[in-house]
Amino acid sequence: MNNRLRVLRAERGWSQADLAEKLEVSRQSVNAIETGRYDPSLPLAFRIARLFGASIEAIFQEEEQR
Amino acid sequence: MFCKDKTPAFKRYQRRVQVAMAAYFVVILSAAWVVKHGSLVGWKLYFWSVLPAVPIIAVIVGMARYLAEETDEFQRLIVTRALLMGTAALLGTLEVSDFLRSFANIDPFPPFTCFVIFAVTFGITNFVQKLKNKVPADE
Repeated sequence: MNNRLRVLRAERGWSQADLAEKLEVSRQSVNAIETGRYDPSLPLAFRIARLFGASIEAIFQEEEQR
Repeated sequence: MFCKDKTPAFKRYQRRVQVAMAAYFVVILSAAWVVKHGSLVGWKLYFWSVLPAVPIIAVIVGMARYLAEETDEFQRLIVTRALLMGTAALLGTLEVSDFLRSFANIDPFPPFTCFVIFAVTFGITNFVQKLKNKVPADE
């Protein structure tokens, strides 16, 4: 699954540590999601979407849709 | 998980394991001394023989509590994978040992072999995953 997490984070000038703190997860988790090595659960995806004020689909896309 | 990035649940887990391991060393040394010098028989011998297992069981319970308390799902996944690999190695070793005993009349593996295999596999898997997920300097 692809995602726009790194772009959205950069737009706000947040570091990975900043985002990890806001999501209450480790920086390893943020890095794994950003690099596509880990797909978050639905609850975490909702938390991410709420934080960026966007829908889940606007942040996460299936690979073939890209 | 590297030292600078420990979750609260992981810190609690570490504290519990440290306490359990400290208790283990006290108990194992006491049990070894008492069994050697105490001329124990019956339930007293059974009691002192089983006692060192209690702190080890506490470590296993600590792992279970960690998995229940960890709110960082990615960290939980890493530990779960390591536990599964450790369990697979443990069960595989037991199977090999049991078939060798059944068909080849070979003596069972030495005591504690299975737990050591579990612990080593768990540790190696955890370490490899930490290396694979090592984060670069923050942007």
